[in-house]
Amino acid sequence: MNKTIDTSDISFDKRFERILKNVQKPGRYIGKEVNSVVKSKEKVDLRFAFCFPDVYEVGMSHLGIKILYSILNKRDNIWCERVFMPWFDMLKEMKENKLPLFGIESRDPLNVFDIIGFTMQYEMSYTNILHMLDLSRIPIRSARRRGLFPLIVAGGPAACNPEPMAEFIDIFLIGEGEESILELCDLVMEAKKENKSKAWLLNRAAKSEGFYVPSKYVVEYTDRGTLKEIRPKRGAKFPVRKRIIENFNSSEYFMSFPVPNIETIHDRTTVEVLRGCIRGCRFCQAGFIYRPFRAKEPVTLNAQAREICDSSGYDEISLLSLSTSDYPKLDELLDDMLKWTEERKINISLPSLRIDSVSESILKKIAKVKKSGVTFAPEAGSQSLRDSINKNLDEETIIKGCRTAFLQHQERVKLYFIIGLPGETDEDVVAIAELAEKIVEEFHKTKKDHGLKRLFITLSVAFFIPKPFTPFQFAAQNTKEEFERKIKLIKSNIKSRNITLDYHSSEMSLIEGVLARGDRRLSRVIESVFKKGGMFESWDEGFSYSNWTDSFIKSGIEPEFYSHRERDVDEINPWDMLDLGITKEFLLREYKKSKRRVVTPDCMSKCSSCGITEMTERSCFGKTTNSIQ
Amino acid sequence: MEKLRIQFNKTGDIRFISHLDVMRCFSRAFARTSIPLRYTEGFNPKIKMRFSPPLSLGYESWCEVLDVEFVDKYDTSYLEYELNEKLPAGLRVNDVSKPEFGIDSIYYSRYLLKVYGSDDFLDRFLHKSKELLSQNSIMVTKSDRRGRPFDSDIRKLISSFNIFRHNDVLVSDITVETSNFASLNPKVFVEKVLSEIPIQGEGWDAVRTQFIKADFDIFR
Repeated sequence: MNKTIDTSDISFDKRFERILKNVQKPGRYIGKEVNSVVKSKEKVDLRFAFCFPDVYEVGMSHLGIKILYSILNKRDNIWCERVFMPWFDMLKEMKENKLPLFGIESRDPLNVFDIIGFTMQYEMSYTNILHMLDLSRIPIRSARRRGLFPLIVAGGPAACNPEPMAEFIDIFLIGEGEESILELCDLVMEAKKENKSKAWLLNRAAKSEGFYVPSKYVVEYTDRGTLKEIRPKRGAKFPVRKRIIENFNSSEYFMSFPVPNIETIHDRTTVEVLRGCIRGCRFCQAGFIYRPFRAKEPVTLNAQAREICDSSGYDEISLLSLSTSDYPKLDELLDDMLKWTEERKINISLPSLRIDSVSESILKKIAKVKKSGVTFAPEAGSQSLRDSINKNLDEETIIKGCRTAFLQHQERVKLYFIIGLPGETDEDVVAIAELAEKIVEEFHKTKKDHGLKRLFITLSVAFFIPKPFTPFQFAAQNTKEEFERKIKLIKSNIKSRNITLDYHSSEMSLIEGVLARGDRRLSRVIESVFKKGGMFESWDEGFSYSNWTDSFIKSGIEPEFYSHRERDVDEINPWDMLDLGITKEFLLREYKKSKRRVVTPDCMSKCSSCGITEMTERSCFGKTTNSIQ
Repeated sequence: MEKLRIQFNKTGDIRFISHLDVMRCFSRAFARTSIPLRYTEGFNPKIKMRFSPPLSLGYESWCEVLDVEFVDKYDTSYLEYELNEKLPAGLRVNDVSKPEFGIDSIYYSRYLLKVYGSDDFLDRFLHKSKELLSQNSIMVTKSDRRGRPFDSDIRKLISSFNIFRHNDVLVSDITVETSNFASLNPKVFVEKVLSEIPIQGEGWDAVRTQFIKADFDIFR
């Protein structure tokens, strides 16, 4: 359809409609989904824009936004809307037609909202956050925003090192947001009602539990460029302790959420079975920052699952957690759910199944309605490296798990590996290909007797990125050359045609590595990439390595300093003003054990004193092991 | 078991979702009503639904049709009410009834096109489209599955055409073939006309208004 040229004098709706005709997947932008919340703007005291700095299909698949949208909108005086990052074509049209970024429910521009909250799910979305502010003509730097509104806040897993975004965000919410987000709203409503200044608000927030206000901390550096001191200004908390919700089982959960009119990444609904993880895989940030381990009761989950399926009409529900097979009452839950899901042709999916827990009975239950491939994550190819990263998994178990899947007529197996792990040797890398070959062998043994046809193994290889609050936070990341050499090494050792190798850009992993453990000075780099138009940096379509390397040079920052340097154990880390419950002593203990390639038992078998019980003031598993607290 | 025909509109912003998306919207709306439906067999059971020929993304419609098999008998006005409660805004059921003819008997689609632009543009569009229609063939270049271009005559797929000026808009009533054998998206014709006009317009809209059978009776 034809492109329009002069648009300045026509209404938003007309301009919007014309733009939609010129973009791909216009359904991303229309909103008005079933269950979306529309309130009267005159009747609410606070308007919250919940921003997901990626496209609609990605954001609408995310669990956190569903929980928090529901919690906020449950309050009559608050209206929370969703905001997503427009794709390249839409962004261009919006700029050309002078259309600001808007809340999807009201289509009002972002600058009319009281609070603009970003979820920081991954480091590579940081430049999108700046673009979203800029699209609404909001100054990106916190110091440039003098007034109380809009207040820019952020939370989510990447906020456990907030420093690279410190110059842009007014307040970070550290830890679980279910309770603190409402406290923040109350505080803002109080400020609004009593006509207080932004300074008043930031002062109050900095004294509250779980709020990190970056402007209230002074950071000083040594001559070597490492941190010398992080000093809180008067009254600001030090350290800032993360928030943990009072009771996970009875915590607020969404019972309805806008049902997308278009296909999303995870086109299904979810119940959150567990929070936290007992495993302590040493590379996994989520495994540490979401501690303590907590589970919901099957009766709670079954009721929530049913209500969400009723309100959404989805034909698939996933039992979400970091490791759903660690749920002690999984069989009971599946049995309860199958009583109604089978009849209604609802498929239950377990997105994070540990290979050592693959029993025939569980596979049968999830395959009962729909057949889907299986995905396992051995993470490393050799046994000793798996021990070193504390992936308590032996080769026999992996082969056995695959065999069990084959017997259930699963012919698609996806295996996740990480290369570049601390202490990794070439033998460890080659072992990835060897392990895949052994699985192929096992398939051929099973094949004839069970009428199997052809095996498809996908080796999905990621490049290791050391993350804060993990035992590997001290470790150096591999260089680009090392990563590429190791990929070649795997390739040359794959012989079977049943195996495909899948990997992403090593350059992207390097940038992510810098941002993950970066300090405040990186704000300059992020701003520079943003100014060069860098966006969707986690997408192949958006990532530009040269934008980043140019910006490092321009900002006088050496990326190697952040990524390829083994950090001194006594060094002050940029995120050291945060207390996530996990002590540095524990992380160091674990790091040393990893060098000796020694495993740590899972939390249910034996407490390894990570520190979280001191924060929660109660033990994770009570006196007896293997029970839900 | 009862097979019923659901006739619905697709209007407003929801016109920007695809045919597959519409199918998903209906599946979920049915699931939200908890009215039991018949499913397909196999590993990945889906509701047995049969839709009228796909509507292009961006077009509105007043005449979309979907056949569904219900497990039990229901009052048709109850079904209409329930579905309208559960469907997203813009997808609206107008009628639920026992089908007289199969969906296969749809042979033509009738569209209402609205074309916007300057006076000069609209005049040129009007004359060019009439001129093209008066010819025995209208050749356009399409591409096959592998992306290789080939020439195709679309004249024979346009069964009736009418165009007139209404205030600032050109309105066209066009009936094109959408059968199992051949089908024409009116977009192909509009783009052909536009390609032969040297100046740009300000866009256009399409609404599907009717389905017509091979014998030129209206399909219901």
